[in-house]
Formats: sequence, structure tokens, C-alpha cells
Amino acid sequence: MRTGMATIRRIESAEPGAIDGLCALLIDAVHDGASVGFLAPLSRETALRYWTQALASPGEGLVLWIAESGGEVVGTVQLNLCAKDNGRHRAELQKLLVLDTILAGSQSLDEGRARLMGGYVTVWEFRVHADRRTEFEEHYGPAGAWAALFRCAEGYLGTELLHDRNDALHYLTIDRWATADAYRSFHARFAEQYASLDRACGGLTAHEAVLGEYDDPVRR
Amino acid sequence: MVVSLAHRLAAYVWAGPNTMLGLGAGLVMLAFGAAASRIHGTLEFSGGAIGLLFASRMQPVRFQAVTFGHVILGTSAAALAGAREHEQAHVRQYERWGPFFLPAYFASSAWQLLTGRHVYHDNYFERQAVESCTRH
Repeated sequence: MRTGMATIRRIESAEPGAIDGLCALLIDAVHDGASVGFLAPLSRETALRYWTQALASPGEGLVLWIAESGGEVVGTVQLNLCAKDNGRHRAELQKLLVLDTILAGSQSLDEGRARLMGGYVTVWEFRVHADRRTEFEEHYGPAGAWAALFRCAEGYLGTELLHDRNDALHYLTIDRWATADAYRSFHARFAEQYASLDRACGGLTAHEAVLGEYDDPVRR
Repeated sequence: MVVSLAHRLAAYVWAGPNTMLGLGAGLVMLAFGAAASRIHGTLEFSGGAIGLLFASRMQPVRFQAVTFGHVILGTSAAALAGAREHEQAHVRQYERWGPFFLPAYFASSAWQLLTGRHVYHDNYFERQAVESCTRH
């Protein structure tokens, strides 16, 4: 089906491109106060987990459509089919989501996506003491102490921990934020807590340096 | 001033039974090498052999920090530093709910489980702590 603005199609498998867009859509809706089973701030990891599970076996009680515009997922809706013998004529409409930029008539879809999916990232590099690797991975990973502190701030979207395949003691972290302002606001508000955690983690690394602050060009 | 002091005292008394529970667990942690400190009106215990055990070995019940009344137990000093804001929100919940907090917490978890939601992330008190943390 094609409308004047978007193409609507049924999703029948976990397409990576579609999942990425669906995550943005769900985060957008939740952050706008939609009651769809999640609470803000919703991390991309949680959204990804939900869509991966929902699309693991499409067709078995769940039918899902997405609306795309310019290659972007701008809307979705689900039909939850009743599996009971006396209810095969009915279904429940669920999670009708439309990207905020579409509803609000924003100037740029990409601008909206950057806000939702983290158009701003900070990248850190670490050299870890050989005997502290386990602790380091525990505290600097997506569910670690740093992520726990970041989650106290508005606009934090998640952390990735990358391990160098050729250097066992070398790691990178990628912290994703909705905007640079959100990141700076976190630092201003949680300076004391940041310093405290930095001190507690001081013995884990031999070297650490911020590689830079980046915009995602696709989402900028 | 006096009213405020009385209010704080009442909060400590009301959360007292839970605090005693935390103190007991904290003392056991101390016996196994944990450190103790007093921060923001709470006693914190962290690290030691038990902290290490919960941080990395006991996968089904793995956690970074847990609060009982005015006692916060952490798997390590770093885990506590990261989770402190969130755990302080739980301290305020204990001050409000007193001895009813833990039954209410587990009832909420049971309800989430029965309704197909996540036993921890969808727990009413955990969601409230997250919201409180971001708004504080």
C-alpha cells in the first residue's frame, strides 16, 4: 500500500534495517509519554530486545506492518490475533506508533532520529591492567557502573564496550547520547558522582583517553 | 529545625527493621573483607569475597547494589559509586513504606511476573526509583 507520504508493508521477518527503525520509533513514543508497556528513559538495548523477540516468530498470533518514508521507518502497527477457537474472528490492535517528527511536522526526519537514537557519541580508549580485566568489563560494559550512573541522566541511550581482537588489554567504549547538550547536562549535574566513580575505577586502567566526541553523520 | 529533626528520626525508626536486616548482611560482608563507609545518611558496605561472588559468579541473582533501609550493599566500591543515586531513591522508598516495603516490592514483582512483564525492570518500585533518579 502506498500513501501520499509513506509506503506501508507487512514485516514477516526480523529485517535488521527495519528493526533499527522500529527501535527509534518505540523510543520516540515512550519518550513522548506513550503508554505502550515501557517507561522513559527507554534504552536502545531494551527496545532492540523487544523487537527482536516480537519478530522472532511473526505470523504466530502477531501481524506487524511498518510505514516507510525515504527509506526510514516512520510508523508501525500490530495486530494481535486471538488464538482461541471462539475468537478467530477478532484481533486486538496494538502499538500504533508514529514518529514524532511526522506528527509534529518537524523540519527534518534525520534531525528527529538523531535526537532519538543518539546522534552524539563519546568514544573512550582504555588500556587495562591484565589482572583487572574482568572488573573492567563489569564496570565499563552496557550494564556496568558507568552505565548505571549515566542512566540517571536524561538523554542517555546506551554504552557499547569493544575489545581489541589483537590486543587483549585494549578496549573502547562508545557512549551514546541523544544530544551533546544531554551529555554536557549530565556532566554538570553529576560532577560529584562522576568523580567518585572515576576514583573507584582508577586502579583498573593503566591508561585512558577520550578519543573524541562524534556526531553520527547518518543521523545528524 | 526540631520538626525536621523529628521527621528524620521517625524515618530512621520507620525503616529500622529493614535497616537491621541490611546491617546483619553488612556485618557478614565485613567478616569476608568488605569495606564500610557512611555516605548521605546511609551505611554502605562494599566488596570483599561476598561482593565478588555476587558480582561475577552468581549469575541468576547478579546485581551491583541492593538497599535495606538505610544500609546499601554493593559488590564493589565502583558498583556503589555508579548505583548510589538509584539506591538512594530506594532509601527514600523505605522511609515512606517502612516495614511494608519489602512485601510490597515482592508483591509488585510477582504481579509483573503473572502479567508477563519483567520481574525487575517493570517492578513499580524500580520504575519509580529510575524516574526519581532522573528527576532528582
